[in-house]
Amino acid sequence: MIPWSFSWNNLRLRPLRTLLTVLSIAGGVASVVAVLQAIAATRVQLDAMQEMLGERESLEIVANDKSAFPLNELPDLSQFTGVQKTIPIFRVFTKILLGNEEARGIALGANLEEYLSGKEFTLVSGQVPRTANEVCLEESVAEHLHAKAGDEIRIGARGLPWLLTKQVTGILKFEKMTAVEETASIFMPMADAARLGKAPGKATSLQVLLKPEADADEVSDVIQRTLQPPLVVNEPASAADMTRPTEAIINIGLNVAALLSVVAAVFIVINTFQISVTERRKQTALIRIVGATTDQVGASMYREAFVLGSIGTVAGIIFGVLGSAAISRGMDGIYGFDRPLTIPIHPLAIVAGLIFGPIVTLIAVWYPTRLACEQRPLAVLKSASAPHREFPVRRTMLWGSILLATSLALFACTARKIMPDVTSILGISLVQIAGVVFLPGLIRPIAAALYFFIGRAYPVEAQLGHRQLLDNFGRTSLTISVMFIVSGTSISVGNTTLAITHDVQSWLDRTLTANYLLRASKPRVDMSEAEPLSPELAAEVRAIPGVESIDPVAFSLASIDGISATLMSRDLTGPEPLPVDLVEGQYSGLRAKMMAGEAVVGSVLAHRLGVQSGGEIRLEIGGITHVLPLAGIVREYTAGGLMVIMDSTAAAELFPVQPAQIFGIKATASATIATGEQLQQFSRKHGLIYQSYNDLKELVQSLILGLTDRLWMILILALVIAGFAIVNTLTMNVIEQTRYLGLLRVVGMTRAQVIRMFLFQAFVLGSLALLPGAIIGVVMAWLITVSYAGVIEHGVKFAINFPLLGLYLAAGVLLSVLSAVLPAIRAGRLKPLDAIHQE
Amino acid sequence: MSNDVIQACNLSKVFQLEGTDVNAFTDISLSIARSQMVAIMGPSGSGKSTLLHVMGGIEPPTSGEIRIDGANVADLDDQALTLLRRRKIGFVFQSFNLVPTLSVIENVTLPLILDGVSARESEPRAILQLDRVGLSHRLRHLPSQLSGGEQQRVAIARALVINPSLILADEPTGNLDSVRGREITRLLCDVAHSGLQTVVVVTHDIRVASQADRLIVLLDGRIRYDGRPGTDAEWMAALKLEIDG
Repeated sequence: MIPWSFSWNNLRLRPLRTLLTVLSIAGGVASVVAVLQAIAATRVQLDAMQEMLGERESLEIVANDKSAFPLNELPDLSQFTGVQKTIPIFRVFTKILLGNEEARGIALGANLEEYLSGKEFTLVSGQVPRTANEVCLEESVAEHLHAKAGDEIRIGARGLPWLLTKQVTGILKFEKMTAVEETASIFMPMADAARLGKAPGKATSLQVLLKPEADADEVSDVIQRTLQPPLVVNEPASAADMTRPTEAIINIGLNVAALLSVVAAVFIVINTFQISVTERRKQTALIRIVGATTDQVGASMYREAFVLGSIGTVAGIIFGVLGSAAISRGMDGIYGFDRPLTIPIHPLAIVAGLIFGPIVTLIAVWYPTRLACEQRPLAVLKSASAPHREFPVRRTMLWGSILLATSLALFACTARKIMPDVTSILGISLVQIAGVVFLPGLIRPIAAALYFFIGRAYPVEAQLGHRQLLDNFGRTSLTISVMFIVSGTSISVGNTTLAITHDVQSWLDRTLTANYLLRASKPRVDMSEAEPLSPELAAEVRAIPGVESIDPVAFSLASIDGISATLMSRDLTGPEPLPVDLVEGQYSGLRAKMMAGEAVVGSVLAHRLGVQSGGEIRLEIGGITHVLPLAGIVREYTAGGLMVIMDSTAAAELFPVQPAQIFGIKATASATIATGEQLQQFSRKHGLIYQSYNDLKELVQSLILGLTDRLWMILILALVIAGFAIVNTLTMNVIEQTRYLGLLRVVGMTRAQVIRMFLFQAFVLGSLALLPGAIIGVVMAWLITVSYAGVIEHGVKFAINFPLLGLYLAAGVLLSVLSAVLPAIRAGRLKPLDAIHQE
Repeated sequence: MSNDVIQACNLSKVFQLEGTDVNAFTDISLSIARSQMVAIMGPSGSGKSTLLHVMGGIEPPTSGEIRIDGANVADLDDQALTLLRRRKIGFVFQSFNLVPTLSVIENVTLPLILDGVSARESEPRAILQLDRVGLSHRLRHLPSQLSGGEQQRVAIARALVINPSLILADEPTGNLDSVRGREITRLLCDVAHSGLQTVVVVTHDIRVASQADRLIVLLDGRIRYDGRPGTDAEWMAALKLEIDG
């Protein structure tokens, strides 16, 4: 057996090589651990966000006709498997008065301790009401009324001939998503609200909280069977519906990233050992000449690899855990969780790292060791260079074709529902791996093209750098493979996510044409329970200078084939472009069709109903059902996309629709800030809620577009991995080519030329990886969009995001060159004499 | 232009080895005229290779002054020294030091390419030198496809292609058999005697040294002999005895 001291000296006397090898393994393990940790952390956070967004209240029982119902008529829901608890709620529109100030809004009655336990809120002052005649106010309402804890207010409700006096015990401020979803303005004990609504002992809804493991659909079916009409079980619309497509894509991205981080890490480690073992070929030959068998040489190599692998694995796990903690902190920042989510160290990630490190190290050392042992020792000692091996381009092309065919087969199976949707992830990954295998075939033409351009400015450096890259074809292929994988993944996830956010932006621009919105109360996300606006108010609004037109918008609860939806009726007679964002159908003739009573539906609703433009829907509102022709399918994010849109006159002729609850106010071109200020004053005077276009845009963007920050984090992480691969490869290049570099310096290459040569190599490496990476990234983005059309029900269209591509390519190439700076300077500083005397 | 290509005055070189000062050579003063072949001999560790490296500007002296083709090395920064090497000095090593992935012609044109000479101009110049060393028929071969003697001839062609003032050869025949060694020695002599090039050869081989115009013998870092080499067997035996101690 070759003594341990031999291995130890190998590691000790080449500290940089040893360090880089350990760092490569650590980097590979860290990327796997960090991505797995990040996935676990992200899923925890997505769950937390879902909870925050309202998923906790998984079901609610309401009366179809929106009337209050007696609680004692309900069965004991706690007997049903999956039900955790129930919270009766009473909502009633109310008018709140304090001195001369007046506000309108929803009064919510419930066991407030239970109700608020699931909400994100701060008690600005005072305390939550505990006894009768005590209330607390939502902060903006309190501000409007100039109310504080201890004040006495008067409240009234429709049909109640007198005002009730209540004492304000506290002011509540809702946070984050709860602030978006919580529509009540005043909170009180259940019995008080029921009395205000003249329905003592009744509730307007019963929230049914499900156990985490419960299947909402199953429980809903079971409960529905026990209910008497008009009671129905609904899955309440929540803000979660709006973020769901983006979450879906993030989950896909995370899955693809997990798989590809493993592939990238394997490539990094293999690349390192390939260089490390090749560099020592003469030493290997020498010990074989003095009597070591190939088994002994192999054992010695494996032993060293195992030691380095173990150290690298431990370091990698530590780096990975710290890295994922940094990612988690970043995401906390993005989502603004008040209570920082402590992400525990995920055992699976650690176990994966522990298995991955040593196994990949041993696999990585196996092939170069086998090659080193196969060579005739004397020939190695006599030769100045490593034996030149022709890269098996033809064989790799064959493998690439097989992989591509396999991935296409997987897509076909997924499309035909032979395999689950998740199979697409494997298919998408296989497409990229096929790309990796095809990559060597592109190296020569792309490198030649780059040399053609750069060679004009720096012919010497470009020629030598170009030559070196091609002479080390295998290593060049491995390096660009790592970068190709991470860039392809980043671009695919980035392009898809931005397509979704662009989709939302396009919808906002198309449908939200008003400059200001006025409403009587905060609506729920499904737009139900919005208080109507009096038509007289419209006349007053029109009189405000700068107001051009008013679009009265009404929302009515509807049902189509048992699926709850919301009908939005708008006045479509105006000359403006129709405020719908068509994904199916024609704009031409659409207005006439809709004014004749045809409807358009949101793409999510269309997907669930399985209908297409030109088909029909059976719409039921307030017990009246009509079959309506479908004039188109539209992009719609309001109410989770479960939306039917009709012209208000046509809808009123067919259904008992609600009066307008929102005034969309369009300002004239000459309108000034004063118009907005007057509208604000007007809304305060009438106790209305005023929102500018920017307010609403910010609200939606905070819900959906804010998620793109997570995308940038994934992209940055990917670029860092790519940068690490370049630093690693080029530093190894310097080590391996020390003698060659020394020779170049002796015969007259200046330091600046050496540095430029390495920078050129980095530029070419970056370009070789990033250009094909961008192409495969776009292909993968298209595959993701097509494969997950069923999951992302909004029917997001595939589009290439050229700014993203341009930015990513520029940043990637810049990072490649920057990564080469240190290795290049190290190469430039080599002492010629020392260098040429090194083996 | 001075007739001396090397002017050294009180040159010393001290290495640090594990905290201890090791004198490579001490207080050496010499001048080397153009168009000469100078051999430097001495036992291992006598400082002859280090002296050659100092003459080539790839190792700075610890003290003293050296002028290469009139330029004081102490006044030159790395860039200027590199350009001096590129344009004025050709190196030939014992282990050839050819770039294994470049062909014969590419190895020879390398210093010209580094100096920005176009391929159109550099290739004929390289072919001329390869023809001079008898290898114009192996232009596209890789170093691994050549014998040791042929590789060394390529290295000499590479040194010659820049038309240097000085060629420094460190044990150029050390890795060759006697026949090939004689060929290389003859070639270096021809180079020195056919133009303005000076050849300085570090060697252990008395037969190589005997072909030189001038012989410098170093012992313990100091010059022990500086003069014309003798050619008779008795002289050579005495020198060998002196060197071997």
